[in-house]
Amino acid sequence: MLNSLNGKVIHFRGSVLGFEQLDRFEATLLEEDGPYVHLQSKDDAQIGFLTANPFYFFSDYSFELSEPDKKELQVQSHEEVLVLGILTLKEPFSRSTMNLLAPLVINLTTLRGKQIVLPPGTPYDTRTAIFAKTGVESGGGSSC
Amino acid sequence: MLILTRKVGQSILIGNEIEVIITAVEGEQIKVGIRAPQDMAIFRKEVLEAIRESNKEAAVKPDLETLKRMTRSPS
Repeated sequence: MLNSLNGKVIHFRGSVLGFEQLDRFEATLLEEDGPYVHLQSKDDAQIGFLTANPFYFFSDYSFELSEPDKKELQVQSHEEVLVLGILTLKEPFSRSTMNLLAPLVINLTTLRGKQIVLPPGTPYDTRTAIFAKTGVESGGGSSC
Repeated sequence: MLILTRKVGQSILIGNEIEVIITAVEGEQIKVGIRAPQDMAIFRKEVLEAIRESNKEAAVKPDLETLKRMTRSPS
C-alpha cells in the first residue's frame, strides 16, 4: 500500500505543526515494500521528513480518525487511508524515535494529508523509540 | 487579553457556540469544562508546542542516499 505513494505529491495544507507555510510534499519510498517514506517539501527545498509506517514498528498502534478529520480529508472508505509517523533521526539510527501522538494521515485518492493530533488521554507521545532498547532487533547496536 | 473573574459553576460564552465552564478549583488546579462544536479542535497548548518542537527537530535536509544507507543498517 505504501508503494502506491511513491512519487506522489501530497497536499498537507499547512497542517504540519511548525511548518504552517508548507503545503506540497513529494513522497519517495526509500525501498520498495520497505517501511520508510521520505517526504520532501516542494515549497521549501531545505525541509524534508523521514517518515515510516507506524504499524511496521508498533503492531498494536491504533487510533480513531475523528469525523471532522475524515470530512477534511474527504475520506470515503478506510482503504484509501494511509498513516505515516514522522521520525526524529538520532545517531546512531537505532536510537531514532517516532511521533505517535501526531501521525500524518493521507487520503490516497485525493492525495490530501493532515498531521492530526490525537485527543487528550491517548497513551502515545512524540518521541517513541522505534527499535527495542536492548538493541537486539536493530542488529546489535548496543555500543554507545 | 480579556480577563474575567468567575466562580465555580459559572461560565463564559465565546460567540454563540462556545461555552467555558469553571467546574472545580483545587489549589493550583482548575478544572474547566468546554462545550463547543464537534469540528472545533481543542488541545492543551503545551501538547501542540511539543509536537511543533518535535517536527522542527525531525525536519532534515534531504539526502536520500544517506537516509537509505542509514535505514538499511540501523546500528
